[in-house]
Amino acid sequence: MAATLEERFKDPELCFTSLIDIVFLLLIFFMCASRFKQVEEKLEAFLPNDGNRTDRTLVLPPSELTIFVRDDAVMRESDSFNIKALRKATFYLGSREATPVTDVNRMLPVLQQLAETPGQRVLIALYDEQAGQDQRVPFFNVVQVVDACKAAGIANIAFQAPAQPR
Amino acid sequence: MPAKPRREDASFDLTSMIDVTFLLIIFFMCVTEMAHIEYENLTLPAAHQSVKDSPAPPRRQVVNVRYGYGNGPERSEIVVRQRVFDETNRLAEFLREQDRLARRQGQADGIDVKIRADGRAEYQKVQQVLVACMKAGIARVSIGAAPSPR
Repeated sequence: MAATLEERFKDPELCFTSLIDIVFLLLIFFMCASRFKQVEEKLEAFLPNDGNRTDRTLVLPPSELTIFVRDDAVMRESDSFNIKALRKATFYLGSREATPVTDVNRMLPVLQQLAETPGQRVLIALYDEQAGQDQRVPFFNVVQVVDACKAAGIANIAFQAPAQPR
Repeated sequence: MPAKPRREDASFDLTSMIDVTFLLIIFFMCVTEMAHIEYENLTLPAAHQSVKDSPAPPRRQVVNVRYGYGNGPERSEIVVRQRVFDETNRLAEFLREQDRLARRQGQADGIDVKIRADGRAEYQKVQQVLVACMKAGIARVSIGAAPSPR
């Protein structure tokens, strides 16, 4: 049967249904794959500018407090699941023989007293520095110490370099 | 004879919607690409005394220490612009080069270094970054932290 005049001059039509489906799938994929930028802040620190000098024997200022950080995890990391977040640290103020402190807030009175005298410095060091030691101090514990020092008003915070070059 | 009622197909124009959808796709494609260049995806430790990080210093080098990727018991690795550094000396050399480049381009103080370390990463790895900064002669170092309610 011959096409009618109306059918012959009808505008060609395209079916957009599949296109819209694919486009929405792509949109949902990129929306899920993209991550929002994390709002970040910072803690300022200053390192001694000693160039290539690797000598760890620094001339200590007249008053300095060394805080030793030690891995004190009760549970060890296993291969089957990650329990790293449960690892905690113990802090020793002044010397390795000092009474261990587990809560950073308990260090605040000592640090505030230290901050009263200008020119005080806090040195953050590891309790066990020998190579091969299975001591893994999570970084967030060190940040807690830095945070406590800044809360007490101590701006001069230093980090002790490791004993053996890596 | 009464005329048959004409059936009209209900239809609406989808052209604008497709345009907007394509714009959204292109937007998300571009945003996703730009976010991955320097900043690795990691969980920064929280700090109460941290300060705002904007505007960023003009010449800053970001050093990431991510957790869960390295080999061996440490499982942390140092990454700069998606390049992994195993040795402290190599990182020091890289930072020294960046510092030299910045000074040549008119930045008298050299570069700042921001250490973005995952809270779960080992402090020994962050120590390596600090040692590399010292060897490169960089004094201005900041530690990335997530804001915490004060």
